[in-house]
Amino acid sequence: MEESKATGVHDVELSRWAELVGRSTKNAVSGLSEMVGIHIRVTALDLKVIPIDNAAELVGGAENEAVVIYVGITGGATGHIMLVYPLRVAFGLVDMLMGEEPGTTCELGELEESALQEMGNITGTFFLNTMGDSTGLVLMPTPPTVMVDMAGAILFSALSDIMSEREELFAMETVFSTDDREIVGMLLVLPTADFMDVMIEQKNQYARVQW
Amino acid sequence: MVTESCVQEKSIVANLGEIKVSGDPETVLSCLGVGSCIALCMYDPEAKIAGIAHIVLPKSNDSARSRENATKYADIAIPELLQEMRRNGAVRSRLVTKIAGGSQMFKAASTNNFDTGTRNIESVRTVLAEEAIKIDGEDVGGNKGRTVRMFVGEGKVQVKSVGGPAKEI
Repeated sequence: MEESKATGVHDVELSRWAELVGRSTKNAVSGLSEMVGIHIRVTALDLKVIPIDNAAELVGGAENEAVVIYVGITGGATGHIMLVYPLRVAFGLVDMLMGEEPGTTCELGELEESALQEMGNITGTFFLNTMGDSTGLVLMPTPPTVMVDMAGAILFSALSDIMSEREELFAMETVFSTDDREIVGMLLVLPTADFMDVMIEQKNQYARVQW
Repeated sequence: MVTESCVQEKSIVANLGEIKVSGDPETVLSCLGVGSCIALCMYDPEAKIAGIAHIVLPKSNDSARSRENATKYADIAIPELLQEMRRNGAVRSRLVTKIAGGSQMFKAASTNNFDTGTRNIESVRTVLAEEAIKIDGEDVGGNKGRTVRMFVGEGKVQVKSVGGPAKEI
């Protein structure tokens, strides 16, 4: 069994992590579908284990201007959930969330940000409920935050607590879409070192749980 | 830690935890998308040697010091940058030092690490004071990301945020 030198995480744990996050993501998207009344499907799920130094690649470059919906993971383990979208895609998301024709939204005011926050709330809650049910951990989302800024500045700030313990980053890239609208963005799930430690420590318990 | 001689490369980016030093007047040293991190810039105007450190965390612990990328910590990065500047011909007493970054990007969120920006600013100021290095210019705090560019030829440090004009510090 191979082991990552920097993290001590075995391939089997990575595989379980990928499966767990994949299932949680699908449920989160399902919750989002219910919220907006539109069928949304996950078109790509990709677990990445990358050096933290290369994290900017995940968001198209450190200076890339993006809309980030952030939800922190608290409770039995900690981490970060981020939905990262280019500005024009975020406008399209707001149109979808508010039942408007595509192209209606052209700026993010209070109302539009509130819609995106609600999206973060639903996504985070469904995601963590699924993850909690599968692991026995009590996981809670922080109130969602919407930011428009350099994607790297946001991502690197969230990574600072991970960087104090690890040299590698576990990220799940997710792309989803609807039948008539393209939502090409990223759902990044970033567990802290604590999160992975909890997973490893409790792996025998996890083995009794259906993943 | 990396020293660049820059024969052809005109733009050098210091990624998370990296230190870059250059004496090529055509080169621009950069830290891109700086949030809670600090871009620490040092310049010797006589020798025309510039250095930049992309500091991520305020203070190391025992286990962190032995790691490959230990210069992500302020207390390690600052002495290393000073040493690298001297190795490239800079004189400590001539150094012009500027800092930018330390934002609180997640001001509305409540997880425990989000005062990292403030702690980074405090740590950088403390370590520089311990090294008897004066800060000659700064653009720190707030809740916006920054890109920091340092022009080696003239020592100018430029800071740009999304939607705002580039400003010199």
